[in-house]
Amino acid sequence: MEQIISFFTDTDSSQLLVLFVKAFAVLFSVLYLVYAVIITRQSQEMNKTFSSPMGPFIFFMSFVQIVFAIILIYVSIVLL
Amino acid sequence: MKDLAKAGHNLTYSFQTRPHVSFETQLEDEEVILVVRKHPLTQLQWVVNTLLLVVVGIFLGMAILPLFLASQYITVFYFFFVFFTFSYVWLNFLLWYFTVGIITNKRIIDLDFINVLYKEFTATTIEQVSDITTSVGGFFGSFFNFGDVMVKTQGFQQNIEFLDVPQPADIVEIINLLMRDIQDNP
Repeated sequence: MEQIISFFTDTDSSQLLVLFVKAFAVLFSVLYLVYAVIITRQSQEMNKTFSSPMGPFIFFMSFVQIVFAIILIYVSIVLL
Repeated sequence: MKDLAKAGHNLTYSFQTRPHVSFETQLEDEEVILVVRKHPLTQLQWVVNTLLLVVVGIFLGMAILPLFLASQYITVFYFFFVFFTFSYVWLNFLLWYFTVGIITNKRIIDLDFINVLYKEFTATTIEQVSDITTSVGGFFGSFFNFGDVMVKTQGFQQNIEFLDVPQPADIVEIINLLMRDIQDNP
């Protein structure tokens, strides 16, 4: 408990802001990853329901979002 | 009226005759004759939203955030901003692309994706169709020739609605032709 109190009293406000931004960035990127996985899964379902020549492209573009999400997680952890 | 014998589509793929598509519950001898989607002009709302989002994002990144954030935070902001904007556009595109009305030589099918997780599939046979009505209204609807097509069915079967679809009169004509064909060759 004392460690937690001293952490908040000893660190200055700019460090707290950095920590706050980093925590939010990581949280949002993880949520984005969950969303990207759901969209990819659902676009597969949509393709199954209505198949067209655009199917592979749609799946690819949905999958790209998972890559985006991984980039976001990496950027949030490393760059911040 | 469109030539039904050959494959074709309009500029925005919202009115496709004999497209190379198939759907989940398609029967073996069932042939897709027409696929319609909402007219692209009805999608203007999310396109405008995206443009506004881009303008706001660029303004924030260039004018507001540099006042109190270091450059690496602004880079991360741009990463988030670009990916979230892409997701917004892609989600709306998916909903537009997969919400279709399908007319086959046997059935009329309405496939609606209200959101990514909710799907509604309504179908009726051509024989069950009792009445078809179209409504074209408003400046844009009249000028760009798009509107609603309501297909009513006999008894308690569910009615089918194609909303904001291009060339509604042509769609009615195609359904009427199919009804006549089925009456002539039962």
